[in-house]
Amino acid sequence: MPSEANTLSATCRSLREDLGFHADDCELPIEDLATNQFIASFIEKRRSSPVGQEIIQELAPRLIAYSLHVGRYRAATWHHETLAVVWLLAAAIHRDDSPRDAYHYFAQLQRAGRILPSRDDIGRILRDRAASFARSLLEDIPRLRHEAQRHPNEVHEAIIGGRVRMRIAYEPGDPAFLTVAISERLLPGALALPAQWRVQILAAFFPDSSFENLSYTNEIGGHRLSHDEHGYYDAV
Amino acid sequence: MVASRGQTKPVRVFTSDEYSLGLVAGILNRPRADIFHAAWLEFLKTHRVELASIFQETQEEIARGDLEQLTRSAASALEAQIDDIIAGLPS
Repeated sequence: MPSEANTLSATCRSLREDLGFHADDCELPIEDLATNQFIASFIEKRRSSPVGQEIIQELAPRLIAYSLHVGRYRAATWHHETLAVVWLLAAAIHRDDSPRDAYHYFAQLQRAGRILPSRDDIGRILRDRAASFARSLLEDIPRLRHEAQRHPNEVHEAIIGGRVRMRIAYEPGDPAFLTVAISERLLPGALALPAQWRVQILAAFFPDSSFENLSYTNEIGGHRLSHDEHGYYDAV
Repeated sequence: MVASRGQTKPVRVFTSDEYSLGLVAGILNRPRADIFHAAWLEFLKTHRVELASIFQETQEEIARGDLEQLTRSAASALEAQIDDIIAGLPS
């Protein structure tokens, strides 16, 4: 289970128009494009910190983007906190006092409404996250359930799909009970857990239950849930 | 459906809904709280059926090991978020 982290990505426009990639390359994980020196530098620098040190004044205050230096090239990167993505927005050669300078180019893109990620760019990120979440339903949750049963009366913490924080507790007995507390906030970022994902998580934890039999609880392991958690339990 | 006669609390409703709520309450000669309560129960019932369906389908997909369908279902839930994310981009 990967831990929470910002995703690194590039807008498809920047890959095609600024860095010379093919449209099909937009579908690839950014790491697969790291043979490009620019992408490699973006990954190295923005993985350690989602923001840089130099705000691009030509884009501020509407957009607080940071300059990334790679030789003669400059790139604009933006930490999209809501989505927990660091975007590579644009790249061009830095030419002092030239109308063809990178920063002029970035400002032109902004004025034309072409610098920010598109609906397709954002959709690509969300599809990747859905795939990771789905794999967790199949692989991680059965293991978490098994772990909880092996260590009864303990509260186990986990993050599935790198995004969903939860706690699990198994109480042996006749019947035994499994309690699952799920955070309402996706990690990191500011997005809420979709209601459908919560139901899918519960279906994975309770493969033999019916939805009508699940009960709501406000505690786990004898402790109250935190303000952003919802708890459910059933006999297992 | 029988409306409860429990305690009440003030709630905010849209002006347009307040008008139609009053209209229906007047036609049926019932308190507005009863109409609102009945509508809310109907909403819960509808969504419970929908969520129960997702629950059962997910159980079946997991039992089959159907990663493709699980991914499709999970992705469809995120589609609704795209509009909000786009709307929240710096203008």
